[in-house]
Amino acid sequence: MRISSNWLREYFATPLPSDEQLIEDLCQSGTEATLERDTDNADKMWYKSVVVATIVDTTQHPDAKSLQVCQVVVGGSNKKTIVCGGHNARTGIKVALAPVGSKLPDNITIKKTTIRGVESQGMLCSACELKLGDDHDAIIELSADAEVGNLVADHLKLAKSAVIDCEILPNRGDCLSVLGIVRELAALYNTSFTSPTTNAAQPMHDEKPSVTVMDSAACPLYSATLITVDMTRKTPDWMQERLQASNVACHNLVVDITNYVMLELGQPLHAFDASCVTGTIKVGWAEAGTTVTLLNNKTITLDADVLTIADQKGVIGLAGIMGSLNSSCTQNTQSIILESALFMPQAVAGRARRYGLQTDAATRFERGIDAQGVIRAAEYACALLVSLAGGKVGETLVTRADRHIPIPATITVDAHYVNQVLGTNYNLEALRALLIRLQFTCQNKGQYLVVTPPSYRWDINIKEDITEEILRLEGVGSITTQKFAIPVSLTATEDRSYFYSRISKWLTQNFYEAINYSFLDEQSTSHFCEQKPLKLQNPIAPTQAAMRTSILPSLLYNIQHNRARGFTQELRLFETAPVYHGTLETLTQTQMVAGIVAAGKLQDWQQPSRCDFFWMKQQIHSLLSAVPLTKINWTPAERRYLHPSKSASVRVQKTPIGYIGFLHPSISTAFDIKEEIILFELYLDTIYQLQIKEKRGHYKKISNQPIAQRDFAFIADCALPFAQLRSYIRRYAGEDVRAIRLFDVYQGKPLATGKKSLAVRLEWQNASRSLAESEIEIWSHAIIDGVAKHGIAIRDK
Amino acid sequence: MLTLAQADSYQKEAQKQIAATSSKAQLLQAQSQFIGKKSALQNTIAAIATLSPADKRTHGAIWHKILHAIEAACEAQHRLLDACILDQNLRANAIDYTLPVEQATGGLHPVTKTKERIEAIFAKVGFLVESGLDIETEYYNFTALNIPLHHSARAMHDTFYFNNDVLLRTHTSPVQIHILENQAPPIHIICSGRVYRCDSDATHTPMFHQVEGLVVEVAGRVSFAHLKGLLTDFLRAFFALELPVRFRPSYFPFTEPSVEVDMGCVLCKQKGCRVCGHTGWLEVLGAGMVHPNVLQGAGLDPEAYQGLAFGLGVERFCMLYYGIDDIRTLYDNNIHLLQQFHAC
Repeated sequence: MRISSNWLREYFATPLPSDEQLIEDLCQSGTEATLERDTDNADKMWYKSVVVATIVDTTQHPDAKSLQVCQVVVGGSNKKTIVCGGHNARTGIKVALAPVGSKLPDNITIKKTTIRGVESQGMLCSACELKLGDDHDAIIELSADAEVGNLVADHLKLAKSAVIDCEILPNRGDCLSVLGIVRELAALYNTSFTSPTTNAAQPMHDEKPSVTVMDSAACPLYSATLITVDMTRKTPDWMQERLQASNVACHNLVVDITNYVMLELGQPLHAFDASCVTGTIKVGWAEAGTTVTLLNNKTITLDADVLTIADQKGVIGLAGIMGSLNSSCTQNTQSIILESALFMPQAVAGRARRYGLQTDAATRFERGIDAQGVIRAAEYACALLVSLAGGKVGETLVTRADRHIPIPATITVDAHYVNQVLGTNYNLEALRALLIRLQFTCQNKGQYLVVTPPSYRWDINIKEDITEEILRLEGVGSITTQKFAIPVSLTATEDRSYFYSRISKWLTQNFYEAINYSFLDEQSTSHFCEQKPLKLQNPIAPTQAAMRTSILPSLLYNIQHNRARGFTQELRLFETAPVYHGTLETLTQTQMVAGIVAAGKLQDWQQPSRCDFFWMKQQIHSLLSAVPLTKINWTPAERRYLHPSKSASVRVQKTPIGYIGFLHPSISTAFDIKEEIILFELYLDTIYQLQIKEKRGHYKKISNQPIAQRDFAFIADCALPFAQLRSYIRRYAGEDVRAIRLFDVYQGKPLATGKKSLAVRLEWQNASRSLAESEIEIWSHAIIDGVAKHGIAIRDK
Repeated sequence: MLTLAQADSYQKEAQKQIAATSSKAQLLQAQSQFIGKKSALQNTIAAIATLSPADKRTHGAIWHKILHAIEAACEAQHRLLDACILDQNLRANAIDYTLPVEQATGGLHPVTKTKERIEAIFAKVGFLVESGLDIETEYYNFTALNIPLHHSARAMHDTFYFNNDVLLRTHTSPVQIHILENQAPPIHIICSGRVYRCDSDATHTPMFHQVEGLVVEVAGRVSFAHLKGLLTDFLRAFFALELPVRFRPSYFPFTEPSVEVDMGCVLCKQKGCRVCGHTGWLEVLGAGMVHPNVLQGAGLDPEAYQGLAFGLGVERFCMLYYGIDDIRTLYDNNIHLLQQFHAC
């Protein structure tokens, strides 16, 4: 909320500190405030530098007919030489001097210059140069009484009051007015203030409206006054200036006065055109489905939980939010019904937002207004209407239900408690003195204070609130900091977050980490999960409407983005993030990591492409052994987004923990990606659980006995998985086999079509003795005979 | 045949010529010339047998000494030439060590790096790192945090909803409630994660990250003065600077008293710049003493326990730490941005 600084200052007999200090002190007490001066505007910067000067001598410029060389005095005997082209420059006149360094409108900075051989130490300004008028041939002539050396802007009274822009916290509705900020300042500076006198105007006629409040819990206090007004009168300049300073648009005298009173006292008022109100005014809940066209020309359909003001014919306003168009005051209005009421927060809150109508009135009622200020505001407005609008006021009709008017809480607090929370050392008297500055009533009761806040402080209900007030008033700076130590507790298992972070760090050997939003378009999720994703009711855009069921589509978008930016090399990205499955009832959030390699167009001069199935397989194996996890199995993937034959599922024993493989070309097409993509995804939650159970640090004794080697070339059907061959070999190779290493895979001539050769080196080693050649021979034969039963032959030998 | 008078000059000449050889062939030739079978020296040594016993001894000693010296010189020159040849061979296959390799092959996202830096600082003083769920209910996101329906504070959060009850958490604070429900004090945790608000412009993304801290202790053990100390230390540790830090009273429904924490602008050293809005201060943390309603809601007696809580936006710290000026660039995942951040 923006307030003219002068308006605030009017309240105080003793002068307040500078505007800069005011905003600093407001910040320290919880009201973030910034200062706006018109000199912040580039076109008005000169207000701070252009001064009144007198010309004491002029001579013709020796080298230019149209120029004069003026001697000017700015105070004292110090003369300046100024070269001036204004035809009216002459000895004796007071002029506006822009000294060297001044900033003038249109980004002009005055510099010391030499004009045709004569040095000029500034500039005498024309009206046009200061944007004060159109005249650019003549320099400004100031009145004779202008004091030499003073700022021209001060002499011309150009500068407007500074505006203080306060950001009011949501619990401090009481600060949404000039009076509210004045109360804060008075408490901060421990000083008193005077409110403008508001004597109730004497009724000048005896007409009064008739009002029925249907739900007095929603509206415990409603006042209505019938006033005739003269709409031909204009809003006075001073009022317009203050309204504008607060960014409130001026409409007509009546509306301006109601806004002015709201700004000053915090009580929203509404003026109905009396000729448009028929019969009794009813304050009650809307009939669902009723439509009403509001002041802003917007027609809305009401829900049953909206409190309305209605007359015989229908709704004439949304209580505490906005009036209707057909009952509003116009230039033709002759009499008004002025409404000043207390609408309870629960009767207003949320409705304005629902209809997109966050008005000043709604903001105040939602936060709670001062019940004790309702009638006072009506009286103040009446007085202004009488004096400014030639108003003739009638008797104010007040409908009130005292039992529903909120009463401030009574709070018992002691110094021990306050000190315990704040880490301070106050005694009861010190607390009392601080609270009294805030207009709280305090009664001593033994070691306790019984505190009652004023009626406008809706936010003070419990002793913690009192503690906060102490902190606010004294400033957090007054509290001496203390160190506190946490007793360390040690755990045997790695925290989940450290585990995830360890996996991420491992992956950074070869991948860059991406972070994507958890939501994207529904279409792209459908490629990766048959289940429907969870959908947001109110997404920002359809492209951010569905919760991710997989990280992969986001990474594909990242590839798209980088390619569109002209990055042609291989791209390797991963992301660690939750994905969301199920319906709202069966929802699961699973932590996953997914990675992707996009081949790109430009190959590194030496590094082979990582867009390779076995490179990726090696990555995953290596990652899992670092976890550590052993007993890794690979089985077919059967995922429709993966290449049907170049993909696999990775398992720990039988538990699936993830997938690797090339992206299915149809998905590449769907994402408009024209390069090979290989990817992996791993279920981190499952892996975390499995690795807890994994036995660690189990040492197996190393044998010093010689290692026997023998190479075999097996010829098998192309379809035979190596894992199958290896399991046959293991079955027949005896218990001393220590390694089965594949060192070559070959297809082609002289092999028959559909056959492949697998070259394998076997190593045997016994724990305690040398193996005899004959033993190796026996095992070798056993292998050859054994695999032959499965249709596998030996190439040579 | 050499005379004794020639002995010295023969040896010197031999050593000089051997040392002057630059190839194996030259060396072998010099070797044969000075100590070969037909060399003057060998002839002289062969003739020693014809001398008198006394001369045999003296001449034998002299000529054999010379022979050994020349042999040693040959051997040394052989080693030298071998080394030269090896060196030449090695140099012949030089690599261009200026050929490029990938400077880095991967890295962490700056937001993750920031999050981990924050977590590490708190973990060092004994905070445990917890995690929570992104999809929450109204109860945990608002009600249990003392933000009842229609409370104006809900207007501060532009919430993404799935239905009237289920939503994307707008802050990490629901984790406080889950922890309070499941763990007994003393509690010292921090929790980080994704949070969501319907907001998207130059300074807001609809998803961002928060770190939340919660301490709950027996009443009297932890006060606002501790909160002030902890957060001041944290900011100075994170930025590795003796920053000015100030606390301003503020309002959060789940803490009372509540404060916002400002630190001196790290970009302009408090001289005033665009980032700090020319105030010299940056608002970086929200904090306060846990509201009694929050403790009570989780079944703790607010007379018996007291706590402090704080929260921060990871992106803000990230941007200030690395000097990133537009939050949206963080989620483009442009490789040119990612390549600027290292793995550890």
